[in-house]
Amino acid sequence: MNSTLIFQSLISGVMMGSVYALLGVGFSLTWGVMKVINVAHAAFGLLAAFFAYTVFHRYGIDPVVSLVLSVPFLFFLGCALYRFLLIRITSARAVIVSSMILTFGVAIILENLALLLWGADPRLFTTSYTSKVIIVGPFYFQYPPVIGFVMSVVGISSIYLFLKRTYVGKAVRAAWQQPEASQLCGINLGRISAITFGLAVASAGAGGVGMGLLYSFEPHSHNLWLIYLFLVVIVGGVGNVLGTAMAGLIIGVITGLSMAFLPYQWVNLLTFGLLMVILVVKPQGLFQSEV
Amino acid sequence: MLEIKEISVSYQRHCALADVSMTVEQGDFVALIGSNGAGKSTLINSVSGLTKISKGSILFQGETISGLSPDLIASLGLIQVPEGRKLFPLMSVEENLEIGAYLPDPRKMYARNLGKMFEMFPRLKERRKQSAGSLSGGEQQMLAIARALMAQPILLMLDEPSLGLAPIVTQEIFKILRELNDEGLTILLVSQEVLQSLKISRRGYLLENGSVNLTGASGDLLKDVRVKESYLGL
Repeated sequence: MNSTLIFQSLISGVMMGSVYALLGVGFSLTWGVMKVINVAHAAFGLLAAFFAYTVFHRYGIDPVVSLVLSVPFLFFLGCALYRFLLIRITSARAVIVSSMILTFGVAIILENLALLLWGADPRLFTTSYTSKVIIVGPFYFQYPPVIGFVMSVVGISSIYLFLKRTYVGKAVRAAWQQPEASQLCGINLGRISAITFGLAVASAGAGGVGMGLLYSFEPHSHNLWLIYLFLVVIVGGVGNVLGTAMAGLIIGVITGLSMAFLPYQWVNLLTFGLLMVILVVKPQGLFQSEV
Repeated sequence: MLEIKEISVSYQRHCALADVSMTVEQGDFVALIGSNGAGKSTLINSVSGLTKISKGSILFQGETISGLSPDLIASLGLIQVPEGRKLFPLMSVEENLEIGAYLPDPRKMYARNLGKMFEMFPRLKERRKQSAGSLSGGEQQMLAIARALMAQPILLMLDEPSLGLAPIVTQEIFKILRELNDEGLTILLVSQEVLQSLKISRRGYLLENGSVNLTGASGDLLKDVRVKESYLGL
């Protein structure tokens, strides 16, 4: 094995993994904070990717720029979904299970909406920079993963800073750690939950466009993405933003390296085999659940 | 200031409170005493809006508050220190105090009130960057009280603040409550520490099996035969 190839696959693994992390961070938040497993999370991301595709191919606007519109839209859509749909199950005894069933329905609706609007053909962003590479010494980097990586760093650090530095973000953490006491401090749980859900869905939009930069996508691609979401969140610790980021990188590196050195059919076997090992050895994830 | 008018609360078919009435006046220090399971926490949680009442009404400063959500009730200045402290364990001492000052008015006074809390509880200042979960029981209780005070309460309600604490720490906490009341803060204290809470409070209510069986000046309750026999072991 030569070291250039190892390093090369390591870097592309990191970039790929960072996009999984960006897509996963909101999924992890709603799970950790609200006990809502949003099975439609990746479908929202897919919607943003399709929107970016249309905007790009019709008006020539870069997919990343389309987020200026889709991220706020998804934020409000998420808030509304919480306000009118999810709020009805928050008092259920098994929120996790009922939320999965409810959002599974949402995912089906979104998937068919995408099918209706964009058809079943696989789509790919073919921007001016899609096939361009940056060459640094003996290494070369493709543009799209680099852009995905930058998006992910910006997205995840803004969510992290929101949670750690702003009053509303701190209220989100407080509400998760001690719902009753947070209400006694004057925190409106319904409002905080709506904001959390809106934020998560909006971040899915960014993650979806990031995925679109890396892979082609079609209306049912979100099912495959969802599996990666579970992977990232379980490894990273539910509700842990930095843990999710780390998990994304770890999984990206494993996938990147195994792609370089193993036959393709072994890649997923290795990744998910590892997930099973982690679940057996450290069922709470590699990092602690924390918001 | 606070008027509880004949409220009843039932959990499924079990009746936790039956026609309980109670008043707390401005500047008052009221102790609500009784044994475990008498309904003391249920009463205080009904006032905070965490427990739904099935009958009666609760008025705060002349306005009906029964039926309002807990955060709205808190915004009126009715602040509870919950049983078992219920701090935000993964957040630092300072962040806990920040959440205490979450409401708009207290938030404006955050810096000033934080200084006051650190003056009142120097231990919290030393540990301001530590996570709340890593504090000792006594420190946690002080933080819980400080967090409530950050909200600038008009009426401070405390649910078993001495639970699980060493006697010396309990005394310290009760002394602080006495001082707060002397400075003009209205306090409603729920406690199983009958002797000590009657000693520091002005008036007392004895709650037994979901109803008020005795009420009066704390000094008189201390002399009452029933209180002496059942709660003070005299």
